[in-house]
Amino acid sequence: MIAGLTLSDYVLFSAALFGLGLAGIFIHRKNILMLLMCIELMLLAINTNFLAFARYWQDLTGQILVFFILIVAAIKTAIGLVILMLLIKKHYSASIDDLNILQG
Amino acid sequence: MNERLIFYVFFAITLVSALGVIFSKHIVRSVLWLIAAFIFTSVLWLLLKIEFLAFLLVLIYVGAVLVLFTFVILLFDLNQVQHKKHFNLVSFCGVIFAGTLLGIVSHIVIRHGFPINHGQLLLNTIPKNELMHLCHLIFNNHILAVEISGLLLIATIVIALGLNIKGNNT
Repeated sequence: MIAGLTLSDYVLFSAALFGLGLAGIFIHRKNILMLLMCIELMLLAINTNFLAFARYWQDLTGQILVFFILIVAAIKTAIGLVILMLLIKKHYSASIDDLNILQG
Repeated sequence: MNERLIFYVFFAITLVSALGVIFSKHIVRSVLWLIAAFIFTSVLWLLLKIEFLAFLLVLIYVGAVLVLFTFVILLFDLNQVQHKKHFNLVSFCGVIFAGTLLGIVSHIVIRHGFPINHGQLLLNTIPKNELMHLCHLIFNNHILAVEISGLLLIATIVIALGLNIKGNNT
């Protein structure tokens, strides 16, 4: 029996979370808000993976990458929500199909 | 041994929260489940002794981003706008795909493991002033990335305000 935490636990955890986010994207692919939330879940999974491997290799670069991923994910969410608000104001729907008006 | 017990308890709770995000009827409940998933995952990060990023996750994500989600949902009563689930062939294939990914990863991890120390994480040898090293690395070696992300944040504020002003005029 292994005493402490192992890397395998964390890799399994992040794979399960990533799979759930991916399945959520496929299930709710018509709804922009659910898409954003499932992307958040997947980002959480990859952040956990980065941190576990940073501890495994005893290297701080993984933590720095997670720091920047958090910043970029926050920016992505803010812009996505602004676009969603404009779409709801214009069409009163949160469906991907109404984004067809964006085609150049 | 104790740590492993705590880890598996929060593992299970987080996966239940993620299932709640996907399968909730109301979208407000989905956001609340998502907040729960983030908080429980920050506990898992604390078990890795990564206190700073766990703090950042709770402060920035739960405190700002997910509250932004909740505000947008409450602003436009989205329960009337949405919420049809589309269980058809594409979503079925997607679920199969995700399950296959999970199966492959778990098979590799359980069967083969990791070479160094049998994959054990050596959490006792972490230096006490690790946060100082982290800040030193961020603000010396990666200062360009910090500046660029600051610029991105300013650009985000400008874009959000500009889109809103323009959207209100038309």
